[in-house]
Amino acid sequence: MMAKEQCVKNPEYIFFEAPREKAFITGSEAVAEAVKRANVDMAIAYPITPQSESMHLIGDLYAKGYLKDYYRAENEFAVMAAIHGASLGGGRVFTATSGPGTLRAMEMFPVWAGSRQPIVSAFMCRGVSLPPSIQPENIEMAFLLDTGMLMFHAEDAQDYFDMILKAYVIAEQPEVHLPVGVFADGFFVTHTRDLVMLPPDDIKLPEYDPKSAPVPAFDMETPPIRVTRDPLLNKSNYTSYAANATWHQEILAAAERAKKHIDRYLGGMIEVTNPNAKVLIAASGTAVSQSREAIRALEEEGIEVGLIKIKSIRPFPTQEIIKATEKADIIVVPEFNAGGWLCREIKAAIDNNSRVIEGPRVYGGMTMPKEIIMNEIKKAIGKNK
Amino acid sequence: MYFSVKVDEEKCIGCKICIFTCPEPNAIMLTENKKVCIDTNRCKGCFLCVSVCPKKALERGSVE
Amino acid sequence: MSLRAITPVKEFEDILPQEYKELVNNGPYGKNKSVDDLGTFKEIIEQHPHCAGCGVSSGIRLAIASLPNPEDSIVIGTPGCSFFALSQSGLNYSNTAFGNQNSVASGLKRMLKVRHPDKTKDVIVMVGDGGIADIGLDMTLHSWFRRENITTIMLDNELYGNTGGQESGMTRKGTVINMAPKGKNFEKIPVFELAKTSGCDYVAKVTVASLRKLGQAVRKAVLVAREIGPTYVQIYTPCPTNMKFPPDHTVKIAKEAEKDIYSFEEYMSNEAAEYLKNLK
Repeated sequence: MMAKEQCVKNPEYIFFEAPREKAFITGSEAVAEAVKRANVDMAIAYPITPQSESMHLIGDLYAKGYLKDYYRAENEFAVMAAIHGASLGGGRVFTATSGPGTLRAMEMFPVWAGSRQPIVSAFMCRGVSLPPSIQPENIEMAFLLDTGMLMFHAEDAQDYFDMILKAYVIAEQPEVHLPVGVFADGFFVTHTRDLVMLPPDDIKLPEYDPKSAPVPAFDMETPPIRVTRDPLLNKSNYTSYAANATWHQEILAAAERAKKHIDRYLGGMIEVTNPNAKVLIAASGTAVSQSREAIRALEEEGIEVGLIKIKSIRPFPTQEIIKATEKADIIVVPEFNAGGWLCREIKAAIDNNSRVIEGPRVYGGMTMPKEIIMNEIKKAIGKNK
Repeated sequence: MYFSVKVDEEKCIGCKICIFTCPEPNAIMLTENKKVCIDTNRCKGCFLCVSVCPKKALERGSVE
Repeated sequence: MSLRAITPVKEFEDILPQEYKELVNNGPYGKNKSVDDLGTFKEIIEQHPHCAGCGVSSGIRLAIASLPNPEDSIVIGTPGCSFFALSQSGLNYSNTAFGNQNSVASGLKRMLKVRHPDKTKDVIVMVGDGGIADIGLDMTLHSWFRRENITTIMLDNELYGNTGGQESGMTRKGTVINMAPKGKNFEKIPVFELAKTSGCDYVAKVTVASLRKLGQAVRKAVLVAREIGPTYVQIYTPCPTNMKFPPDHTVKIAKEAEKDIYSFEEYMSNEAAEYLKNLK
């Protein structure tokens, strides 16, 4: 079955105006639905649980004609390197990986950011060795916090669909031009069916225009004919070092400039429910879903708890979280990882961070039933189980 | 003062072997009268050209 | 590349550097130059910081001068010594994380095909022995297995030069060198044979002492990669600094090697041979 004829529509129409219909699909399918409408030139795949299914579906999209090229590479480092090369050529690219695959490709993420490439990569988070685990855990996000990449954390399949599509538009802003990692906790999001509202599939984003890039494409067509995309200055002198440093500062500045685009397209870097509550939960990813359950149950017991859902991890919504936690006495941070990276980020952002309760933390394949969040909250407010 | 190479134009036959051998781009050029000419700013004084010249037309030297 | 991309407007001509003006007026873009023309045109590599007598810089200089269409060539390199000269050239050059040059080249070549399907865009990898035979070996081999239309050129000085002269996979067995204080205890990696077995359609082994063979090998490799399949040229580029011989002995050392392990060898598939024959 060949690709449908797709009409190019502007992003605002696709995101906010196009009529949406219900679909009951897995997170993996939601990823493919996003890429189908994203006018992607090329995708490169490598198997690792739990992102393989998404990349199979992207392959099917290629076979039908929605993408112009697609292949399976030999390992994740090779995938991310080839994605770098393809993006150098001036096209729109997509890839995905998980856990150990992310770590295998690690060297490439600061290369992407330093090359100012608007690459979008999905990360379907799972445990990293040792001990080995394929179950949902997002410790890999901690390792990526300072690569220069933008990072969005999807709560569910709907988020995953919207964030991947919107990531392209945010990344490709001339003043941004940074790679975006769109993260979701593996299996919980990828392998469960959920209600997702989808715009029609006969519309697509406008194609990427490499002339809008702050650094020219590598096609021997775009002046100036120059070396790589960053100042290749390995000389041991002040000018080299100063050029290198200012390039780094520009990467950081680009992430700051992304904030207004994230606010516009994602509807804000955080979502706050019941901000006046004295007890708040701050979470990202599927920990948000579990928190919603805990909040609903606690409400029945007469305990009022608010929720901060954090959607953008990089840039980190420091000011927004400071404001949202102004009135709170207790801030609980449940996470699916052993390191507690989100808790660290929040504690670093706010005043009087002894208000923060570190956890509950779940990892190794264990689940986060609402009861453990509820118990943590009750312990914090001094009530017995 | 640094190393460079002097050309004896009478001995030079314009075979260009020195040009082919020199590791520095654009350092030795062929002039209109088919002799070679060395850009002493680009020459690093490795003397590979001197070692390959079949007519011994090139000589180690230095530049002030 | 249309020459318009590098031709300055009349108003700015007088303030541009002399080297740039020479490149526009007397450079090889669109003029089908070869190694035989060296000395009569402005080479697209500018001054590089390689050591006096450096074999790698000779290899790069001769290879770049042999490119059939420098105006539509993109070179991919990787850290080492080679990138110091490659980054000084008048064509798009991309450095990469060490060893992944063949993956980057695969992605780039395919995207250029997608975006410019009717244009010639030669993607050429030029990398040292460490980057191809050691850290990048799996990615190099896989780009060949996948039959990517790229040319891979190894600048083989049989050691890691830029980091101070360490044993590499291409060092000859028995050589005493940094990180091999008792002598290397395994054979030089047979990348040339691996290229043939992996399906490269044109494979050649040359040294910087035989410049015409080198020039023809690089030219054929780039042409065959356009239409037929992956190609590989292995160039012996001795290093005076790390092998500790005087800088004017480089050609002599290369010629010595031509007597045994670096004797000239060329292999091409039937399709490549047919293709090259028809081009003439």
